[in-house]
Amino acid sequence: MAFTSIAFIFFFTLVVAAFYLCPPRFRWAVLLLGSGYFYAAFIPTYIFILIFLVLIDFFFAQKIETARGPLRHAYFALSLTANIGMLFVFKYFNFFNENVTALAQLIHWNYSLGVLQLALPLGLSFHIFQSISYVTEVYRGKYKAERHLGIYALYVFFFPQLVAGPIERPGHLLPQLKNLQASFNSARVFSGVRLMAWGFFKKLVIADAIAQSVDYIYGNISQSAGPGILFALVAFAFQLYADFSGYSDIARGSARVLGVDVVRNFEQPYFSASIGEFWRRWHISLSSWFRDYVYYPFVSHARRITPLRIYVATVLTFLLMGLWHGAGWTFIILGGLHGTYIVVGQLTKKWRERTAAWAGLLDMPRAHHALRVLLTFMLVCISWVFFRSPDLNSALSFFGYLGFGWGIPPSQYIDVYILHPFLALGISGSVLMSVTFFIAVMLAVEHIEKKQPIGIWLGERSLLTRSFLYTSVALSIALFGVFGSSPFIYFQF
Amino acid sequence: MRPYRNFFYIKSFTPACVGALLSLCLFAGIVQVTDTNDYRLLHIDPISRLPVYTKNSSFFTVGGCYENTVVINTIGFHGLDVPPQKGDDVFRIVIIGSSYVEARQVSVEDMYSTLLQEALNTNPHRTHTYEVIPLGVNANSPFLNALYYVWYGSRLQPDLVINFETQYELSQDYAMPDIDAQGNAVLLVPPALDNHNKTGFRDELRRFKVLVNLYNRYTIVRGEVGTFLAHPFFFSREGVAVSNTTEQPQQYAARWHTEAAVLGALAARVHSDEAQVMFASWYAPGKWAITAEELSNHFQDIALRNNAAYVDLSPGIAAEESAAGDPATWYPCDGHWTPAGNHYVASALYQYLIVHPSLLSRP
Repeated sequence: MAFTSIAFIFFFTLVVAAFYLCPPRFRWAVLLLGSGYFYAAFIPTYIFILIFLVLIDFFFAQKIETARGPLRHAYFALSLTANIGMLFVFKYFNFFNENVTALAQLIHWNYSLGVLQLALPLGLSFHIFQSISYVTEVYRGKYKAERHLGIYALYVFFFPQLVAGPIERPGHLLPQLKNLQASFNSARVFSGVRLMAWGFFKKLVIADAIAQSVDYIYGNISQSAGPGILFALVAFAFQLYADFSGYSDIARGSARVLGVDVVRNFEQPYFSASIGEFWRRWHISLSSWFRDYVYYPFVSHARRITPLRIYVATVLTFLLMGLWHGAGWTFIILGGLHGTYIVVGQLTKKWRERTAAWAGLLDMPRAHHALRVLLTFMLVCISWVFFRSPDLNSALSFFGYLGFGWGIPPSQYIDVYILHPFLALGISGSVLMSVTFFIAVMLAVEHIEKKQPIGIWLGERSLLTRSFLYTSVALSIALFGVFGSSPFIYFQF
Repeated sequence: MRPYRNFFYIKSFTPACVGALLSLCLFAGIVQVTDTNDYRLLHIDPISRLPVYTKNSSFFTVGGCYENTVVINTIGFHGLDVPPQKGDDVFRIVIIGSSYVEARQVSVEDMYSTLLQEALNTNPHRTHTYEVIPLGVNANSPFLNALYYVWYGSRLQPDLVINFETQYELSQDYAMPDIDAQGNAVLLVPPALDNHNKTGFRDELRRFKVLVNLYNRYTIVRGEVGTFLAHPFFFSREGVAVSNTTEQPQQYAARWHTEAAVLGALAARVHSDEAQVMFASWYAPGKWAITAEELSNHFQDIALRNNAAYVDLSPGIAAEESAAGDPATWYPCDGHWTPAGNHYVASALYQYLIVHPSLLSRP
């Protein structure tokens, strides 16, 4: 059941009503039942995979807590094997098999294994990472194993963040799920609904509108000229952000209506002045997961922390992060590219500072910062080509065609790409105009949020202004939203 | 306490309303500028009481995945101009239908009616000069199609009338006919359309594009709510034959009854005009409560009962699409035919007509 479907509106209303009408001690059951239905509405049978994961991790966490010595490590290893094994079978086996077969052919090794005809369960990477987080925290002794199977199941199943995160930590989510006592609070519910509406705005008005153009250009690369390709390069960055952060806002908003706080996944990532900062603001729950469970252990287990070890750890972490997104070379390159950005950034730091000083940019901190933000944004846009392209060849041809078709008179640029962009960009001039305006609105809101939470900012405005703004968001969705189209991009992971 | 509370509500209610109103005004302005569609092009013909376009006009239309300048001809429909007098050697084919006949997604040159006319006139064995005249208006029901024939098609002195439908037209509730004692539809404009004040008021409201857009969005949401309520909380979307309408198969039985009455009356009227009648259908994309086979069988049955020809265009169009290397037949954003699709339709119709030469000769 997609967040942007009518079914979800009915479902959510029913769950909220049942949640607040139910005595607090049974609320977990209402949410668990609702979440189970929510997941089963996609492909019913895959709920058994989720139940299996819940039982395995619930059991092993108890054992890890009580066991000592090697047995404790063994339970932990078994739990990790079950989780990662499940992910490997459903998500990576065919990719692995395909590459081993190619390698075998190269060295004339008689290797053959059949292809698994399995569909990837929705959001598998998200809930497996959430489960691993729980088991690891118990293993590290930072969190006590949960004794209530229903509560633990809800930790994995909780529908607002079940299929596309944010990836929660047990220390943040489990205590809240154990204490679902909140009485109906109209201010909190309104704040949650407002956040959901903002998410719908991002998804329906920006992401799905701009997707028409991005899909058109990526689907016709060989017929597109350089300016069109450059447009798609930038447009996809906004599509991806509006899509995924829109989903996260709906998730956080719906959890807030139920009195549960879910972590923020984005903090104005496109205002970052470096790639490192970008990853502290983009898909925060995933990047912090890799930081805590991959990067830190890798670096801290060394006898001596050398720059080389840090660089290797950085690249390795990003390669794994790329692979998390999908089983394909494009995703590995995506990760590798970001790891390389950071390492090169570290290696050239002094040189860049000297260059900035030489150019007089240090005397103009705002201009310097703006330049760094712009450069970071372009580097990110380049990397997203590997995210969006179906395969490596498409990604390379995307860059290949970027250089063509620039030699037209300026008046023709205006005619072809602004006034009548349908043939070149796949969307009409009016849609292009409206979506550009709405992206500017989204960035303006982000800019406000950098300084203070939007709820507080709105609270300081007059009732007339707030009413104007709320009605405007509602009308934007009603008049400019693209209804009944694509699912969220991150659902595929 | 009570007067004070009332005062408090009024005090907070007023700015909230003013804010909402200001926003509505702003968006009305934005939509008025950015929406290039002219919703008042269709106006009520004072004689027929049916909505028609302004003759010899044009308008620009933008869909989710197409844009086109729609050129309205000398008789008020999208298509080639129609000579005022029918020549002696001219064989006129009038096609009636809704959006699939109007074909506003493509230029006049790419309309299947134009392409069919070209194909018929380039046939070396032709016995006449052919004119193919589309009389299509977006979102019409079969009953309205018949009324357009009565008011605009009949006077063109057609030799062959093709009534084109998909299952979409069948599900339209816009106007339903009265049925006479013999079970035939009465081809008169129903009172709902004949209300001068109401239609005039609607015509005026179309000036405000924001209202038209909001209404269009409301119909989409209403449709989605209807579909959901017809199959509430089913599991896998793939597991349910979700209909684009909220209709159940048994509800279609009543519609087929009306359809038979309308097509029977239309066939009788066409025959009285000394022309031949032919029904054509295409199974439109989407998931519906009716199957392609049922659609075809019903039309076949109605055609047999009314001495009419019938062609199911779906296999022909699919064959043409496959032969052309699969350029898309229809636009994914609204299910209407692309220029390539119009070529397939013209070709499928042409193939059918040339193997049924009796349809191309006067009775």
